[in-house]
Amino acid sequence: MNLKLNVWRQKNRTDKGRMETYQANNVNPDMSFLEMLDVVNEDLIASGKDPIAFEHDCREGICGSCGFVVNGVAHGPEPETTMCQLHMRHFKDGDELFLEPWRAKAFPVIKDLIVDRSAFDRIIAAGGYVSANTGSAPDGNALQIPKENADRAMDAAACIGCGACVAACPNASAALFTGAKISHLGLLPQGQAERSRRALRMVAQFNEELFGSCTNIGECEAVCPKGISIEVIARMNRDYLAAALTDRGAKKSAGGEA
Amino acid sequence: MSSAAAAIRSNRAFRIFDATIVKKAIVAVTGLVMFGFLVGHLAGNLQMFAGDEGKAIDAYAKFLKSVPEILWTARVTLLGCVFLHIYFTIQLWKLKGDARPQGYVKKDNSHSTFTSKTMYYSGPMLFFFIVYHLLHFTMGIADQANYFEGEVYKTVVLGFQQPLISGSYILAMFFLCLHLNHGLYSIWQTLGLTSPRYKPLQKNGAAVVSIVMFLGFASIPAGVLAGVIHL
Amino acid sequence: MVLDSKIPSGPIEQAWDSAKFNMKLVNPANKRKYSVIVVGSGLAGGSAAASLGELGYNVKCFCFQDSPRRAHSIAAQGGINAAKNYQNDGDSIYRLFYDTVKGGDFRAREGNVYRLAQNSVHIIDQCVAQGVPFAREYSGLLANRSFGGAQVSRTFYAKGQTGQQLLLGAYQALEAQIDAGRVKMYPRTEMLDLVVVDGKARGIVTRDLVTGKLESHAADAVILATGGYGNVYYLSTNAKGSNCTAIWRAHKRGALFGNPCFTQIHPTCIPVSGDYQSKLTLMSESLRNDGRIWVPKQVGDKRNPSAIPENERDYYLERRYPSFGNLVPRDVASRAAKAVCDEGRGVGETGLGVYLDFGASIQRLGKSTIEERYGNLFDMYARITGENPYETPMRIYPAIHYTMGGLWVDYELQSTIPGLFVAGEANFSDHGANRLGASALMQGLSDGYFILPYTIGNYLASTKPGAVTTDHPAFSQVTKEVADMQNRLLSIKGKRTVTSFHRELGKIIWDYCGMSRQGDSLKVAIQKVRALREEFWRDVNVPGSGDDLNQQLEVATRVADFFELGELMCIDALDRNESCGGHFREEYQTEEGEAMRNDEEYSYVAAWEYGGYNGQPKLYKEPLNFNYVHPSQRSYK
Repeated sequence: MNLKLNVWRQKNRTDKGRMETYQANNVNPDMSFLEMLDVVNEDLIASGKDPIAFEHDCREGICGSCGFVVNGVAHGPEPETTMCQLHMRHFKDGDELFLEPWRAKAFPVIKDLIVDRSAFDRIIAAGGYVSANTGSAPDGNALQIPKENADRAMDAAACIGCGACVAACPNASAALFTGAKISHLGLLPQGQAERSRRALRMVAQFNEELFGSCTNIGECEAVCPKGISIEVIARMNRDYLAAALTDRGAKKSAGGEA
Repeated sequence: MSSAAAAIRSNRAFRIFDATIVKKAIVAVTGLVMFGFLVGHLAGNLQMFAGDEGKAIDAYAKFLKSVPEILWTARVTLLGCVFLHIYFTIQLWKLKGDARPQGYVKKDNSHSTFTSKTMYYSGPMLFFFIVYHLLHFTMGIADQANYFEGEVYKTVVLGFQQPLISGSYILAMFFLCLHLNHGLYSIWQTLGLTSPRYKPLQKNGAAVVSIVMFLGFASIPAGVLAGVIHL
Repeated sequence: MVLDSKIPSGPIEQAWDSAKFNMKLVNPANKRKYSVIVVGSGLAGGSAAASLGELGYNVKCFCFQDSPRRAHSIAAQGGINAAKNYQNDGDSIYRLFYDTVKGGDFRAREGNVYRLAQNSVHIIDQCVAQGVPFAREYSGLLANRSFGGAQVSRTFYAKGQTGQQLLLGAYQALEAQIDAGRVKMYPRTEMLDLVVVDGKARGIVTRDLVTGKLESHAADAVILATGGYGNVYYLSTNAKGSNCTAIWRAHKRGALFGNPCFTQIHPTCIPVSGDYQSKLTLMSESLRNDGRIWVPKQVGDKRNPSAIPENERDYYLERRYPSFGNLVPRDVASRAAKAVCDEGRGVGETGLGVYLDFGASIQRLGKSTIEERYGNLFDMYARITGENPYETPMRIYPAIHYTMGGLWVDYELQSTIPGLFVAGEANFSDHGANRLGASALMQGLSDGYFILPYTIGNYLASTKPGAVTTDHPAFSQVTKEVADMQNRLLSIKGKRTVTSFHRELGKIIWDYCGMSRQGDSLKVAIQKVRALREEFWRDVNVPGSGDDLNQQLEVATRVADFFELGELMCIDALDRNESCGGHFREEYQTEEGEAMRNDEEYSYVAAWEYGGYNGQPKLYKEPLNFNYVHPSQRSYK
């Protein structure tokens, strides 16, 4: 099959950027989307042009490196599928596709379809962990965790940090990402000690990074390659509000000693 | 500690009204208060159907006005809610633009519901309606010729007998329906008072209640137009 | 050079404890004066960086990805072994040790493996404390499953995403240390060389992958935790970015390379579907529990599998290995698949595939049971191939998956360059000639959480902090060499793309140094690799410049190193005149076609010293002694 690709090209952070059109010919339906771009790039290199830069690594849908918007949908048309696992059999001959990078103030474009997602790391650094220094752990079976809680924590923990939720959100909010980590740790007994502090600090960082505010629309869960539900956002809101309203140490724990 | 880490940390200081979650929660709570008022308002309004040429509703209005302390507390509370609801919504709406300064060439938002996508339109329409509504029935400025102080029934019937006015009221109630459809569900999500078990109930409940509110409020201008309510 | 493995003497049960006790300590107040560089942020690197930060050292951590959370440890599916014996099924530290030494076909150090088994139990505790959502029973206690040949149930797991969850645990601990200012993270930064001053590792030279800037970083010790080199084969289950550059550059600076030819082939991967293929996807080995593997009896039988009657199917594993059947170990299953495909009986368009058929199991157990057990794997298969495995048999083929070889390290994980430590898949240490399932995660975390924090301190205690800074001329010299190589790559502007070279190199290594090897053809392979390498340096086209984000330049640098490593793998494979574990030399097999070890002559670790661009590397041997687990021939008949 043959496709027409309109791809966002931007040399670096400061370049204005523009859409450019390329032809992808003889696309094999068994190719992944990224393999299709590999072939386009080989042709671009052969003709002396700069290949399209896109992020990718594991190519099996778990590392979270890849991702861009295809015809207005983050990670393209297949539900619960990252770009690297999206195969060309889902497109048809003659399709015209628009490929754009994630768009958010907090995710500046570095080059072409590559954006800087380090804001996510800073949100985790703010409190997305259980402080358990190496060597301080009790026996793994010392804590009994109801299977249902462990399973729900796992569902939230499945987040791969790809950023599709931010890209899809009309408000460019990172609520699904932040909520997923707050829910994962908040559902487990190990996460209780730091639950208030975690919510306060992670949300403060989330705001610091200039992500938008959640309006409970649900575009994020629709594109999430791991199918994480906006239930996690409700949990984040609950933990945050409870901490902000009741925790006498709120001010201290948000800004004070780590 | 490196200075970069220190900078990050000092910026993370806790300022409650800077948090978008708190702003959004205020929007939700004020919305809930206003919804509570609407329920009372509708219950009162339905006395228009009493068939007693307005005796009941006029007496009800008189009763409300007889205790100015309560009346004004309610009015101030409601005005405060309207103000806060709008004030924080505008802040969050501005943030939306700041958070994505460059938009997509092509964007598909087909997963969001129509009512959630139109909150920023249905909201301002309701605001304009409320201003008009207050000018009309509360202050008697908009349609002075048909305004009779203390005679609620007469004022309403004469007002709604004008198709343009009753038509715009019905339209406004349609916007209210849209706004409540997403808003009533959204409140639970914003306040974190939801779970997979209750979500369907909250979502369907919001839809049913918003339609009931529309039918209830719209029934009055429609009833006047249809001649069911008459002087 | 005499290779001193520094294995403590005395009973193996007490070796690690006594080693720890004998290690020198760094005073808590002095720790912050020492700086440690950690390259790589996977299970080994991430856990080491976090733990060293917790101890108070000044840590710099580097990864080429945009975030430490992307490291390829994340892709491990199955689980992590630990000798907890929670199932009361007779597991013990000794049994895990025994299984691992035997599974490694008696080419691993007993001392290291015993310590690994000891640490395994602490790893589970540590990860649970961090909030890793391991699978639980209804009782709320930890669940286990059995895995890869072990006769006990000792594998802990988090759905099919164990690697992801363990990595996120380490990543979160790392981010906490970054926030506390004890670790400085350098994402999108690739190590391009090691700086050695007066025989000691003193720093690295890196390239900022966004700005292209070459930078120097000095430290009192350097840890490489940069993963394996499976991508030398081009097609592998590794992430596209996984590479050997960090360890190879360290090798060129004097670190010996251990057992480079020990690579592991995983039998159940989705077969190649075309020339454009960029990577291979692994399907969990657990599928072999209920799936039956077969090919048509007739050569060139291209009928639809459902049209091939039962009596024209060859269930070759069940035929050749009646007692283990479809559950023979990874290396045996892989070689058997290759053999039937070489006979021309392979299935699928390319003829490189065998059927993994669930038809009988679905009939026997019902579709819902199979769905419950393997649903997510079946979905993944369907997503990639577009075929429904409930109706038509899966097609599978072996693929490169793990490399047991790596930089040679002693018991303290220190390489032959003092101050250079190597952890995780990047070192050669614990798996011998074959790694057991669910042991890679265990080793990475054991190295990072429980070994390096002690051994680094032992090294640093006898070092003056900050003795060398980036002002030292060695840094500018190394930076110049790195820049020269980069400029050379960029100036060729030939006709072939980097990928075309990588693909061709991978095919040579796969054909000659893959599932089975043969003396004469390995010699051919060495010539072919050299010739292709010459062509690469003459005709490669690396577009753009070195001054900005240039993904082609990144790949070209890595492929240049793969050429040299590929050659060393062939040399090592040629030198080892025996078959053991993943290394199968066709000349050395039993009459039934099974691997034949030669313990008399080859019971050693082959550690190679770099021999120059076209030179012959020099072999050093570290003899292996087996005092506890006595070598025996594996049999799965």
